[in-house]
Amino acid sequence: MNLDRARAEKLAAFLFLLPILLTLVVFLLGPMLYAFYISFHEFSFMVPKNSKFIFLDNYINLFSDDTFLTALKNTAFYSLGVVPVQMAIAFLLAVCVNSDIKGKTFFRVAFFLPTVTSSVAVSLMFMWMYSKTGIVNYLFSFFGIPAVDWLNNIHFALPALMALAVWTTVGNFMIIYLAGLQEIPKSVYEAADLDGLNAWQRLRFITWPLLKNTTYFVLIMSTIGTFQVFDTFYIITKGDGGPLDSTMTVVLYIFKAAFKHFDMGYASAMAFMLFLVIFGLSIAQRLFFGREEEA
Amino acid sequence: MKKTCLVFLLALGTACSGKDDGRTVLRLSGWSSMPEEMQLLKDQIAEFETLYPGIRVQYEPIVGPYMQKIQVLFASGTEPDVFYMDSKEVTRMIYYGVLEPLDEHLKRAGEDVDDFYENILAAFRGPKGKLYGLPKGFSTLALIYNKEMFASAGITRPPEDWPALLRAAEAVRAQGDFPMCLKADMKTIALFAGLAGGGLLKENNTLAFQDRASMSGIKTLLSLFRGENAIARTDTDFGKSWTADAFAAGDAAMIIEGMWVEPYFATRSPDLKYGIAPVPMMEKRHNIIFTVAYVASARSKHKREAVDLIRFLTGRQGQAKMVELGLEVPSRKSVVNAGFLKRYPKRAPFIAADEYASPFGFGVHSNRMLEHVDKAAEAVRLGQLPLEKAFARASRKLKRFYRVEDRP
Repeated sequence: MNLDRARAEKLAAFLFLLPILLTLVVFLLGPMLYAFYISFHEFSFMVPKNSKFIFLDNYINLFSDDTFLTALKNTAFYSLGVVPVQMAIAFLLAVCVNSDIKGKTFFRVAFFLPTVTSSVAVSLMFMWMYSKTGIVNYLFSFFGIPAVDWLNNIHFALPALMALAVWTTVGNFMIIYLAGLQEIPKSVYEAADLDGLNAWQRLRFITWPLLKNTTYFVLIMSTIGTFQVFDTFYIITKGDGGPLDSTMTVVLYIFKAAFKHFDMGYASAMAFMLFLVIFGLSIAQRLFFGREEEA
Repeated sequence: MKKTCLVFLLALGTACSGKDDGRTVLRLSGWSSMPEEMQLLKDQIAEFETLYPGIRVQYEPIVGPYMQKIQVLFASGTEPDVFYMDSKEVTRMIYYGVLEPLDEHLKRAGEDVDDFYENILAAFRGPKGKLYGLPKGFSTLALIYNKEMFASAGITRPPEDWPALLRAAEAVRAQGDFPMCLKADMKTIALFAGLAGGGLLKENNTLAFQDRASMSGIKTLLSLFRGENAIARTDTDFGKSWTADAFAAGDAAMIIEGMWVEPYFATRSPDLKYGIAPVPMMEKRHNIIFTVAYVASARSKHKREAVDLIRFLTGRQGQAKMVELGLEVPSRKSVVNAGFLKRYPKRAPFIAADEYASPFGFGVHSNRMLEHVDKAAEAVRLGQLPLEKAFARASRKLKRFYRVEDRP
């Protein structure tokens, strides 16, 4: 009787899960396996029947394709720049809006707003701001800095987009940090007060260590996010990654190969390369954090 | 979830079945450059449906990146029966074998193909001269100049050759105006390579931009941007997103653009006084044809009807109305001869250039050519690489896509 019931419960649970499982298999797992399959082929969706098995050729070609290497380099540079800055600002903002300053609800909303704003709108706004006659140049002109065409300059285009990325995503991570902060029990701080810790010591020895799991989560998500960056770059550079590939990212190049050159096999190979890179980084971060925990 | 799936499948089912209320359903797709164009097309479809009571046309305009959507539609086997195809993209579609050759159909229907300008038709011809689309219109490039700036610089007529253009540029600059707004992009590069007697692609499908003549044309173009006395700047140098925008704002006295700037000027600055002249001659005359055709899917179940629709939409009446939008000039001689130039004398240079122009399209890998040639020109313009090196690199990247044996 009991056994039957347990079995029935399992069945019910499975039935409840079935719709989402089916969706995942059909729309996620299936396409992933298929992409893996075509990454070993010269494949175009226009003439699938003409696809040719070329084994590792797509993967090998990646390493002699300097656009791909540039894209990888740009993406790494972007990630290295954006992730720490974004985390630092998000953390500080979270600490600020968690304190009892006046109008903290307003600040929370204000900082979070860019995250929920459409990336198209944000991109267009920044295109105006960064234009040669835009507000950024106007502000700089007060300091006697000559006008720069930010988004069309091979040295400044990527940093300009990095600043944009920090501005748009910082709110998201601020919210995650805020949630982490609010989970720290008040009693810890009260004890710290009794021990006579100053504000900096509280931050350094209580808040920061207790937020370690949050920091780990933010780091992983932020790294993955930066490696998958696409939308703002696509809109601002009109899908080109220009000027001269200085803003070419891996996903942008995947998109170009797949949807401009119709070279789906090559694009899939790149996608799996990107997967390996992100997977490797996540493992590395996990090892790093895990080791610290033991110490 | 399942219900949604079911509804979705049903919707898909009805969308794909080619019949409803006994009429044959033809699906038609294209992009739309302006709302008026879409309205006009809808009116024409209504007219077509009264003329052919057995056919219902389902118009499905594509918003956003067109070829991406077309690829997905083909991949899922749900491509429209009739759709727009740009001359730049058509060769690879022919190469994939997904377009229907129209010659037999047109012959059977008694279409007067000779009424189209042959150079425009050539853009849609595949191997063995087979025709895959009928062009809805076309445009070439022209020198568009600001009449007031020219007048105040004492220039009485637009420059006809390159030395005259340089003189005009100096005269304009002496008056305190800036001479030209150009983009060193593929279309301009192709134009200049041709003007100097070269080109980007040879007949045998190998690269030609490193030939002496082509290189000298490209060099001329890029030198316009260089130095203290540069006579050309790009749109972004002016903080604009289009040469026509900079021109309309009075930033520069000359641009080289196509017909499509006219409707833009009409709304952006109706008081702008501008003239349209043929592109000045260099070593020879040259021009680039931009054209879009209606093509039919090779898998369409209703080819005869599809061809009827293509013939109707590119027919004399249809085209006569379409060109009124001002985005293109007629691809049919009969429409031009029916008083088009009387009404729009200014547009004559766009039509006249057809004689010596070649289509904007560079084999199966047009997109790759565009990407690498654009990039090479950009590297030179930004001073990153010398001309020869930049184009040698482009050639290295493109070589494996442009071989004699892959000639389409």
